[in-house]
Amino acid sequence: MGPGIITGIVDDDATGITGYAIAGGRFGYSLLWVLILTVVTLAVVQEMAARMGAVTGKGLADLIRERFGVRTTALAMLALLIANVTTVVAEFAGIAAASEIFGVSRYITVPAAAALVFVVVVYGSYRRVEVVLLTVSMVFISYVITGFMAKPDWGAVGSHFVVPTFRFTLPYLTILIGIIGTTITPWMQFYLQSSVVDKGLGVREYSLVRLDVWVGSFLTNFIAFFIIVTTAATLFVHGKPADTVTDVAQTLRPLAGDFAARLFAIGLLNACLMAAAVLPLSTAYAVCEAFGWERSVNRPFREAPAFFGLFAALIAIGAAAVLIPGVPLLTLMFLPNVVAGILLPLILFLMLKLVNDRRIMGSWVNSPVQNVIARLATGLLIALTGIYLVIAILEGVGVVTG
Amino acid sequence: MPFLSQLLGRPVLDPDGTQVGTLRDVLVLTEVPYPPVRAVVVRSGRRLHAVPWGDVSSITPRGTVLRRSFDLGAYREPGEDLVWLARDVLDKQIVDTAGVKLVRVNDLALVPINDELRLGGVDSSTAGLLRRLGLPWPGRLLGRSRVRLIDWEQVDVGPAIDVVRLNVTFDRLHRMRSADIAAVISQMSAGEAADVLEALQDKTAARALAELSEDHGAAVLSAMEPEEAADVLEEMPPDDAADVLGDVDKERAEELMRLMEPQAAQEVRSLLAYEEDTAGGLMNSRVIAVQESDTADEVIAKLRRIAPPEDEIYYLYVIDDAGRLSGVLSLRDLVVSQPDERIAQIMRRDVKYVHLNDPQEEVARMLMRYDFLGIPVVDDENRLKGVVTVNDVVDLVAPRSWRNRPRRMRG
Repeated sequence: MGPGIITGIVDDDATGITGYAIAGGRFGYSLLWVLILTVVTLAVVQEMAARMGAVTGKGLADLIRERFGVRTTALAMLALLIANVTTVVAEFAGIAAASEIFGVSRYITVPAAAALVFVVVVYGSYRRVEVVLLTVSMVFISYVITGFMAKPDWGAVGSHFVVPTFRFTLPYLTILIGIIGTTITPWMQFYLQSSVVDKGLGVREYSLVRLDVWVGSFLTNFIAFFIIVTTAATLFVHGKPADTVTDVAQTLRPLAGDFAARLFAIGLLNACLMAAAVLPLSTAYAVCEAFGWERSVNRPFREAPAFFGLFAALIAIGAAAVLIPGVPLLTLMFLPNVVAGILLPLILFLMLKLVNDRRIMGSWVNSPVQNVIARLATGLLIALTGIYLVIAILEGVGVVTG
Repeated sequence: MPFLSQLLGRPVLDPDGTQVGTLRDVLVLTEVPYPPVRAVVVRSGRRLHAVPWGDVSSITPRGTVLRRSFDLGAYREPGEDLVWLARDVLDKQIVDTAGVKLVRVNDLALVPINDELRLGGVDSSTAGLLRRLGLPWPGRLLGRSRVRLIDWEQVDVGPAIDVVRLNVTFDRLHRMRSADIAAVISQMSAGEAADVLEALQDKTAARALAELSEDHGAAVLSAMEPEEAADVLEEMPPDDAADVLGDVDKERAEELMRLMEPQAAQEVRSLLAYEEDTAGGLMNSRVIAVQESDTADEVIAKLRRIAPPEDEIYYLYVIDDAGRLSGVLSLRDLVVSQPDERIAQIMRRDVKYVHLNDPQEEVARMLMRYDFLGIPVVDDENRLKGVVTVNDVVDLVAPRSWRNRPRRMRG
């Protein structure tokens, strides 16, 4: 399994599942058309990241630092940190939600999960654990199967998939940005590029890398499609809300009856554990790489204080936020998508400059088509965010009602 | 002593004080110690101009003043014959050969000496980072306000600069011990490490490659040009070459062995035939063997001729006509004996040995038990096949945290 496929699987974490489930639960099939945009954009953007990694042998944070200097790097790292802190919180929220479906209090499972992740990554063999987690990820097939068993109106599915509907309401726009943000997250680009470099994949293996990335992008959106269809066919169609995680879990009912909730919880728990390990690690690596601080899981704490400190802090904040009494789990799991969607244009902008720079990429710069797609996507996102903010302000001021 | 970041972006003025542009970069001549500034790059409008050092009157954080009121258009565009400090060195990673690691250039210290401004060193400290961000105060708060400068003479530019174009020779890297070179290289990605190894002399590269962890070594080997990789493999003792090739994918390994000298390739191939964690997989097949009828003098002369590497010379093994192991003597025994004494008189006949298929733990146990520096390996007919030295098994025996096999993991 290549870096592209692994990234694709990790993409369907707490924020992903929640994002797609809410999209289907609240708006039925009407957001399916977005997936065509996201699958193409994701494939193009991830291919850029993978190509940069293969050609330069350097991570994204490294390239940003070398090409743009310290100030831009600080800005990019700040954006990454904000997006990632909210996402780590979401992962622990997912762990809390999953454990509550099993009737175990979050005050036991969340600290346990935090400790587990810390110990496994720092002292143990993450690679071995990764294999286990990836295998359990196959639980996602349950969404595909349920999608068919829920007997959706395939005609409606088809038409909404191909014909875009657009509403200028705040809730709709929020979910729209959320879906784009969760499918194409900033941290994934850093993670993918680092993985490619780490595995020593170079120009010689480029066609394999590209294939791997395309398959991964397709996989993510494939699963997203079925999550939306399933929640639309079970929740939306029957007018049931998707307000709590348990609601979302019930969507698997057609497939597994009462066991539905537990099946969902297993998948969620697994995805969140994996992301809770990968995300803080990848963030700590990127930041230390950018600022030239010592980074390695193999050196003792004293030699790499920034690295371990950051890693530990991210996990601690994530776990602590979720343990605050009364904190709304579903909101926590959805919020990072919007944050990611808003911050994504910055990262895309930097990536576009890097990947088109001949001094860095030699003859491997973007083709005109790739540039068009990537720039169009960036432009659309910025426009969307702009409209979003305008409407949010207008609504806040009372000019428009949602 | 100004830092480069304090000079960049500042106004460039003519002698009357009129601003003619901003300072974009500084060009230095790198082949001499403490590279002197030879020109400055001034940006005016959208164009860049290289102003020779001779035409610069002063350069401070307040601005750069030129000696003449020349129209900037008279100065040509800067070329690629000198190194651009801001573009090519700032924010890149260089090799600190004294600290034996890769560091990022946060800032560069420039030293005025006589009429010249010379590159004194690299600031890789957090204070330098904060200075670039224009935030000196958090540094003082956190006690990180001390600048740590790395003297430029300790620096090797490593993966930062286009090695071929600038004819960088890596002198300092060459003089480092192989374990240190390996430590630095292991901080780079496979591609960067391959570039550095290709630029080093084959012997040095071979020793460094042997010290890398197996999978990193294999990755670096795979990233090198096949011809160069084969050259380096030839310079490695066959057991080390076999260790690295063992982790490279089969097709590539075959390609590399085909490019190697046939004899070297053959030695490596036969070692690869043994299981990795047995005596056969650990051993070096190049072994000095002597006959019982040789005299001490003859053997010493032979050793002088062959001049074997250090760890192939600890013990000399005695074989009979059929190649079977019959005794052992140490270099010490050889040297203190009379020149005309026969080996048969000097050697010990109760030689300890291991079999090709013995597991590595057994080999390690034998070495520890007798405090040997090396132990011979024989086949079923007692013929001498190779030697396992104690440093081959040190990794097995040393506590886990001492192992210098860095695992890289970005999650």
